[in-house]
Amino acid sequence: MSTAQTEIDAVLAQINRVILGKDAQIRLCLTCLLARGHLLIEDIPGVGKTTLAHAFAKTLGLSYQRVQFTSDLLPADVLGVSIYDRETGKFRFQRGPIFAQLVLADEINRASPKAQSALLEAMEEHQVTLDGESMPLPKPFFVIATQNPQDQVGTFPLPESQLDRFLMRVHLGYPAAAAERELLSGVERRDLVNALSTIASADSLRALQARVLEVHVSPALLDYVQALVAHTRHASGLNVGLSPRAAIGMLRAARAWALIAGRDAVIPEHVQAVFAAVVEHRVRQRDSSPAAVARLLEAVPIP
Amino acid sequence: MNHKPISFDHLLGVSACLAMAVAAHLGSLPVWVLVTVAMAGGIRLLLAYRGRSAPPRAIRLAVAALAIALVFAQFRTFNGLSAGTALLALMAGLKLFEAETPRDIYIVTLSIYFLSVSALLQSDSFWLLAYLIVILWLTTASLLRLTTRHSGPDWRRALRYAGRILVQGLPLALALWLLFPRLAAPLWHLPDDGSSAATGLSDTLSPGDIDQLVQSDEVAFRVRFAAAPPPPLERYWRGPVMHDFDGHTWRRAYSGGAAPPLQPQGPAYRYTVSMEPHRHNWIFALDWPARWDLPGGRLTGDYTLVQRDPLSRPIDVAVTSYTHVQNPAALGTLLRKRDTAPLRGNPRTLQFAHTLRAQHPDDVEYLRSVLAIFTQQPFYYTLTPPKLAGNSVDAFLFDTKRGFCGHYASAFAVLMRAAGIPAHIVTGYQGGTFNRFADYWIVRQSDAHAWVEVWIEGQGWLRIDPTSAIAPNRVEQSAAGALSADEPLVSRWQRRTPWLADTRLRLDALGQLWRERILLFDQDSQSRLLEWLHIPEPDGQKLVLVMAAALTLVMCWLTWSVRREIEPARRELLLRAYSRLCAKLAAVGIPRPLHEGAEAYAMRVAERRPDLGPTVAALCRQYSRLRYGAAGARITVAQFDAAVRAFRPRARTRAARA
Repeated sequence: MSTAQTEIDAVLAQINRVILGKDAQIRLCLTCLLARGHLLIEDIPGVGKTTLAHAFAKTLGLSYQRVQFTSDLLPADVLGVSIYDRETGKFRFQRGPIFAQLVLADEINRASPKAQSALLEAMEEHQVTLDGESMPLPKPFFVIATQNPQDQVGTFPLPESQLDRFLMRVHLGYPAAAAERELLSGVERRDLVNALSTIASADSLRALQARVLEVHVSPALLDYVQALVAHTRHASGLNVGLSPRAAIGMLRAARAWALIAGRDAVIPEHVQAVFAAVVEHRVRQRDSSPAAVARLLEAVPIP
Repeated sequence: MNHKPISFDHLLGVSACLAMAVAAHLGSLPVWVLVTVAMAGGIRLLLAYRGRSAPPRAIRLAVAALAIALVFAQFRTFNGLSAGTALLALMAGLKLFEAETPRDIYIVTLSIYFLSVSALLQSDSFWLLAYLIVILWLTTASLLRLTTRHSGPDWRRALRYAGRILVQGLPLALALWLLFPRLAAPLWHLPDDGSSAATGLSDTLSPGDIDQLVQSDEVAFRVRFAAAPPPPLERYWRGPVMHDFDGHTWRRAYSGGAAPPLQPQGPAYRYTVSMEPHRHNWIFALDWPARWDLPGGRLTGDYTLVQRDPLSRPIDVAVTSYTHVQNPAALGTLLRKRDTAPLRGNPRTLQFAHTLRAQHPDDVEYLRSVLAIFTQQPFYYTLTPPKLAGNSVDAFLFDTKRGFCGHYASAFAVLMRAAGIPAHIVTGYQGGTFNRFADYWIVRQSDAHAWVEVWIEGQGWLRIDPTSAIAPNRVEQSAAGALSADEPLVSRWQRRTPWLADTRLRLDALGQLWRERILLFDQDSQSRLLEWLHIPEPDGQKLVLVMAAALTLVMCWLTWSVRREIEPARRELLLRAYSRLCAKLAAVGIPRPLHEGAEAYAMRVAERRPDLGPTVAALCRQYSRLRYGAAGARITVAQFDAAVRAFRPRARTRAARA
């Protein structure tokens, strides 16, 4: 087993000890991170979104910032602001919370579209431009945004065009009974996170991200990806099909998934594993149940 | 049968194709046929453009009856190439005239194919074939547009598809061309109505004959030497020899039976002459031919190589010639009489000859003094000499003093004969253009020439080229080289644009290649092909067997490639083996849904049948590796196939379940 594999397994094992019974979601989060995508978690408060983000930052040795999005949040609150320094007589840029390797944007749908788009543009371009000056964001740069689907009053849900910038959307969901029992009986999660050891580093993470692009993709698999994408464009029940950006993202996510699974080539199962997370938030479905996405997969034979 | 009316677009396409096919017959069809076809197509197109249908039945019938009557009136038959082609073209045009349904268009299209093929009966040039292939391509495309359902594919797709069909037909054509039994003699003769081979030497020579010929740029023949060619001054290509002179025109005469053998001196030149068809039976060989490879070929008494029949089709003749010979035999009385026959007319010339002969009793002396007249007196060499009537030699020698090779040869021969020295005129070609792109010589009509042979006792026939006394460079280069700038000559502009001349040479080389490789492929070539295939004692029967085998192979290949295209899934052994594995598992009650990946399937199988689990997991993993993995998998597809064949899952029995 390669060192990369050992590292991946150790990361997954450690986070699984903090977030209980969410193995699949944690694996998807890591997949998203390795595929250099951003993650949207859509769930009610209190299921461990913050803990998850914090645990990842800690385990991977990334700098971490949390931004609570509110309706009065201004772009400057996220990106930073230029302040006049009386002593030097010059303007000095005070970096905002976005200048971190892992940013948790909590309840993104509560902020105004202006603040949202400030974040989303930074996500897309990996840099912040203020007063005509561009400042690169740290590398790796990874945003976990959360969205609360429950209370819709006074919120600004992200439009599809913005949702497309998130590589994946996952639901955490309530824990299973056994996991919940352990939560209740075990140690306080915050203490657990603070006690986590750093397994990887920003450098080793970037090495893993590079490894993702080395995972082999055969023409047969590209046929399958294209067949899936084409199906979403023609299938009934969908208002909009997958964009080329979505197809690229899906393939990259499948590669990352294959790397995590310890394979050197992508197989259709890897595509299927990431399909729901990559596709669900991009296609406007009349029926938004998980079964609908499964039906999409079932309709496309593996060539 | 589809009875939907045809669109203007379809009509336009098929009309264009018909026009192109008829254009291939432009030279041979009567003008009224061309006009009728053009008008029929034009009227139908106009009507279709206005959205109207074909003219009424009565008009159509009347036009057709009139056309058929006219064809019969012109040709007195419906048989034969000319009448048949005219009838075919007319019928195609009139069918277009009444075209209403796709069925009519199909008939017109078929006629276009026939018309195209019949054009090959008129000519076998490479360019005609290329043109016909283009017609075939366009016609097939327009047919495709008509046959497919709905509106049919657009032109671009139809053309691409038709092109593919043509290319797929190539192997079939190749097999048939190589192996279809050839007949020793052609089934039909190419038309020999005299109009096709208009230019070339004839069996008479009048002043002005050759100067007309020299204006023509047509190829007379081509020559490929086996080794180095003879020097320019010895490149005289011998044609018909003229003996009889009536004061104006030279004619051929009795040539004295078999030619007396000549004693060769100096090197032998071996070469192949590729003759273009002409109206006579002579073959232009280098002076003097000694051996030749031509069935029915012989030398006339004056050393011209001839065959029995006129050259109605292109032939290649291998000849060996010697440029230096000795003539040991004495001149027979009959021949001497022929070549010293009393001359009529031209009194001034005869008078002059007698005076000169009195001064020079020796034959050679006399000959030299005559040549000296041409060099010393102001004789001019021109392609546009004044017209001479009546006593042409008198007028030329004493008045105009301007002429071309025919004038000089004629005057010289007359002066010789007047002195009693046997002389005759040889017509033929001199020189030639070297095609450096394909290593052969092109002799054009513009290289036509006439010279004189005189009999000098003890030396035999001597070739005297009086023209070279006037302009020596005339013999060293082509005719064009000796002409002054004010002479009208087709090839003059070519000298000024070398790249154009080069292009022409290249095209000529292509045509020659076509002729050598394609047109002259005959029975012998087929026998050699069979020998090359190691088939002993090749004959017609074996040829047919080999052809049948080759055609079967080609058809199998076509079927296979079409099948492969229709069923791509079958093309790979890997996919076949994998479907076999799935079929075996389905037989024991665990079918694979189409969307399920191999490894997910293996896990499901392992859950249902733990006994099969490890084997199926291994097989499915191998399949995933082979199909989706990077190159260099640990096992080959063949091994996987063998493993799948060896895998025999038993249906779970009641006992096993318990």
